[in-house]
Amino acid sequence: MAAKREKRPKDETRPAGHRGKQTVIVVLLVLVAVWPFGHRALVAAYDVNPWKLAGWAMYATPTPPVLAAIFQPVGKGGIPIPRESLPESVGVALDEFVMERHALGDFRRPDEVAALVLESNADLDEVVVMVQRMILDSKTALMTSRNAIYRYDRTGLLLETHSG
Amino acid sequence: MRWLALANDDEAALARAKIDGIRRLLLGFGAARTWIWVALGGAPSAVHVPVAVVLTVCAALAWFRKTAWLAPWIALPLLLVQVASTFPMTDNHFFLEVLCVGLLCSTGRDENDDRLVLQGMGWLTAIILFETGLQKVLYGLYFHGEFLAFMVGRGGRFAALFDYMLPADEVARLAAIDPMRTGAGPFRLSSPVFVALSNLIWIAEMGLAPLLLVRRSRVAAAIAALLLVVAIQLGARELGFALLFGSLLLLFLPIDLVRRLAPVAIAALAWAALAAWGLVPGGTWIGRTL
Repeated sequence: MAAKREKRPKDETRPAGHRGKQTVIVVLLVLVAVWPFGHRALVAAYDVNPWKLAGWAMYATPTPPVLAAIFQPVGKGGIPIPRESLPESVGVALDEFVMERHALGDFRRPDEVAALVLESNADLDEVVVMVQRMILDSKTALMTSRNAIYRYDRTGLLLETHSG
Repeated sequence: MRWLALANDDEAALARAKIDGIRRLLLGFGAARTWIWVALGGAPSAVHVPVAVVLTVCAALAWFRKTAWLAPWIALPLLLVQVASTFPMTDNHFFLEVLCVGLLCSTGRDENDDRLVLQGMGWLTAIILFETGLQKVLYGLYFHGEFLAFMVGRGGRFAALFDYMLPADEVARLAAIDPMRTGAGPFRLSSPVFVALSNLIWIAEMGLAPLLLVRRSRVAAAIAALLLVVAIQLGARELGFALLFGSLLLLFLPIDLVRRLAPVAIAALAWAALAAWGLVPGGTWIGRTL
């Protein structure tokens, strides 16, 4: 029967600081290696941008611009509210929202955009913000869209949201 | 943790030379990058001009034996401020820069931890190279060339790189597709050369990464990966990423190439920063490219 392998003695010549640095580096490498799988899950579930947040998925899929539009709900539909009819502050907030939405997906809601729109128009009882991101489908090689709709009441309270 | 040594087993003198080189390059890169950001209006100057000044000092400190070990410690918090100020739009290669500067903080005045830091950088490089290939597999848009077909249709530098291997009517068809319309497409091509090239990209990324960690194949894999990066950057034109990742790949070679090339690279970066501010010619090209 083969002799049992002797346990390797601990390297007592290395100072404790070196072993500590080694541990930190190993933890860092494990995080870098594992995070992209979590990132992929966030992209699938929350529409996070594949090219951001250190998922290393740049050039894995296209990321066309995110589009956002504001509507006044009427029955089951809505009347678009043109950007030009809104104060500049809303336009600035909308641009910032679109930029951050492009990176963070569903984690970035248009709450302050809705609040500014409602503040600027006393006649509105509710406002809807619709967000669209185009995705290249790997099965069909055709463009599909993922839309998210946010409906707010006069006080800025989010009444409903759905995406798909 | 003997597996760490798979990424680097240089002798002490070579390890120290490589550390000196990558430290000078990374900190010089960070300083130039920040000056360019401010000049191009990509960063609020109230925060980033002082940051650029201090990073420039760090880049200078990296050239002196007594202060080189300290430079990453000063630079790292400033880089984290930059991450916070650019988040969530932070480019992935900036995260790589921060990780590498963080690793450099583990070097001391002596050479005891040089090899450990190089091992960390080596593994980081191999992991990221592998992950970029794996992500292409997971998103499934390279098996029939869908992603590249999409990029050809968008025109510009990708089209210029690939459309010589496609019939003109195919390129025109792709360009005519509106990517903002649901159902638009298909972004597929029948050219076997194009499809083979598309698959070669992720195969090379995933295949070369582990070869970097085998001593016999390390040099060939590093050179092949460098050629892959250069080829991809002909289309992507992300020169910052190319410089950064290329330097990390050069660390796998058994010579201190990074230290030897650092002065040239830093001179080029300094020119780019001065050009971005209009102090030397080339500002328009910088603005278009970066």
